[in-house]
Amino acid sequence: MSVEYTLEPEKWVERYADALFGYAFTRINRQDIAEDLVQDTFFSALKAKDTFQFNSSEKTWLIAILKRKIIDHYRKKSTQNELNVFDKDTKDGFMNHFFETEGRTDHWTDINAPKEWGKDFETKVESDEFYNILKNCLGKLPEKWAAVFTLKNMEDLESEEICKELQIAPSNYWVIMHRAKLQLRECLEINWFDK
Amino acid sequence: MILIDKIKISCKQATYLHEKKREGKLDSMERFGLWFHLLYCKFCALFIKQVEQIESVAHQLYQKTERFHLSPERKVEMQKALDEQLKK
Repeated sequence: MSVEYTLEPEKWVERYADALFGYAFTRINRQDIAEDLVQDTFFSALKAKDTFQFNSSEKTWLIAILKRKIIDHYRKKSTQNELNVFDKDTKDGFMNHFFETEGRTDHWTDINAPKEWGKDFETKVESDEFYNILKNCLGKLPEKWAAVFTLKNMEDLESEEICKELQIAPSNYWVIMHRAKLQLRECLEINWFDK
Repeated sequence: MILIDKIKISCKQATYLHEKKREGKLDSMERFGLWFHLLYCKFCALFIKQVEQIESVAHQLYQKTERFHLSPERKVEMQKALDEQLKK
């Protein structure tokens, strides 16, 4: 026997608002935007209620709509702010922070080379405090970098899809990921491991 | 010695090639260069280990949706707005 789901929009807020908000706020670092996306999701769902497939649950359907909105949010953000981060120029301040410019050119600088995080990393890493630091560090990335990193790591987006959504070339995708990870790793080290 | 010089890459290149590798886009020269670099560069090996840990934590973060809640006030507002739409 198959289950048929029905829609009860008048109960959406009570039943799903928290779950949707949690989904949005773990993926977007701004509370106000996450809240707006939840509200938008309810409106869009209402408009599209004829397209609801009765073999999926209301919640699954609403999450799918919200997920699309999150991708759209990142697409708008990252196409608006076209950062000039791809300068092959030698005066690349970002890279010079991490890598030597003289002598052992392009090798880690003594100060900013990665440091051992210690054995207790695995035990502490699941704490709320660590998640908050990670969220904070993600929030400090330039929009486009945060977009690439978040879309890649939220479940099932392939890099080809991300390039298409954000209108970037595959080679730019690697450049952005490389930079995003250099910055994220350092930010975590400073805020967590050095404290 | 000349061959060694050709194979040797910098840390900046190595950390970049690691990203490219994850997309399966390294040519054989790049693959060998990265492999060789990681044999002797403990910083880059450490970097790669740590960024992989970060990604795995990030992945978990996205599953922790129950950590966050809307304020009761915001929910009331949402319900009102939704009711308005339902009346239409």
